[in-house]
Amino acid sequence: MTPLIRSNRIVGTIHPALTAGIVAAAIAAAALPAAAATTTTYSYWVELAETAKKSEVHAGNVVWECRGKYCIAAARGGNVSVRGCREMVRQVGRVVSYRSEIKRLDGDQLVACNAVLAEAGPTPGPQTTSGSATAIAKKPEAPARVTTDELTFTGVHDWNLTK
Amino acid sequence: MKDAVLLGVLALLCAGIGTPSAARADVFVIDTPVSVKGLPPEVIEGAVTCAVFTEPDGHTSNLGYGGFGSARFTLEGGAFLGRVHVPVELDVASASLLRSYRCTLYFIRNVGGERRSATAAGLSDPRSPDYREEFRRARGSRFAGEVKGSL
Repeated sequence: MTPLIRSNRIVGTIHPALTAGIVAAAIAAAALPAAAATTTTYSYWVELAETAKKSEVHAGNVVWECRGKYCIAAARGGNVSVRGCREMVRQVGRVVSYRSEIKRLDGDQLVACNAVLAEAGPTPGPQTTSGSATAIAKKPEAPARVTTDELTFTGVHDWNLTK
Repeated sequence: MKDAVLLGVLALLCAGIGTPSAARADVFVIDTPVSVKGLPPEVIEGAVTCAVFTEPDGHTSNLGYGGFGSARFTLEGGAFLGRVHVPVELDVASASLLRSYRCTLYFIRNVGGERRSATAAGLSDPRSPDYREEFRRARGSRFAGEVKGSL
């Protein structure tokens, strides 16, 4: 097993087959010209809150291979989407991190992704210790914040005439 | 014995008042761009007041009320252009439960030394002699006295 290192910390291990897949994807990505960005193959990683109960997951038009709390895939483009993440959450439960080599979902996007559990009710995936789907999305990873459309008003008072 | 129980209940109540409840610990921030101008001198301040809801259509139905917050801004020369940050104190356990919001623009007027608030859509204070009279808006100007949406 190969240690999985994040921020100089070993957080888990990856099955040799997964390691080979990541290396192969990285080699494939490096071999292609940069101009062909959309056709370049990138590695994708997902960290789960609980151990995956399925070894193969179809989500975001990609086939993922899952071992323990990690799933990997190789796909073109390197883009990540909340939609793809939600498809994964429906099958394997709450996602902690969803990223490719070049992009990742931020905290708000992960909250939106995991919210699918609360919307759909109990899933076949792992359950939280509380057993409540609502409780799963309790901790947003970024400050909760939203920007609205503009409030606007233009009155008839002319301050130039007041002076 | 009865007095002891009563004292105990009072102590618990006081503790409850003195300590912020866990449900109120989470604060949700709503940033609202605001553009107002051409207001008369008696309008001294503005305010944006927001409510949040756990129901997707709560912003129209008022169902699933999840918290409330307000922030003021100062008018200069009858105008304000900027972004108002409204901290919404939540009545629900987590911001992740929220599904919709509604924010309303208010004007605060100085009427005979007394502060009176009114929605941008019109005066809403029954104490005002011109109650329900609309603020006069520039012809053809864009008006948005309320914004609402999904979370």
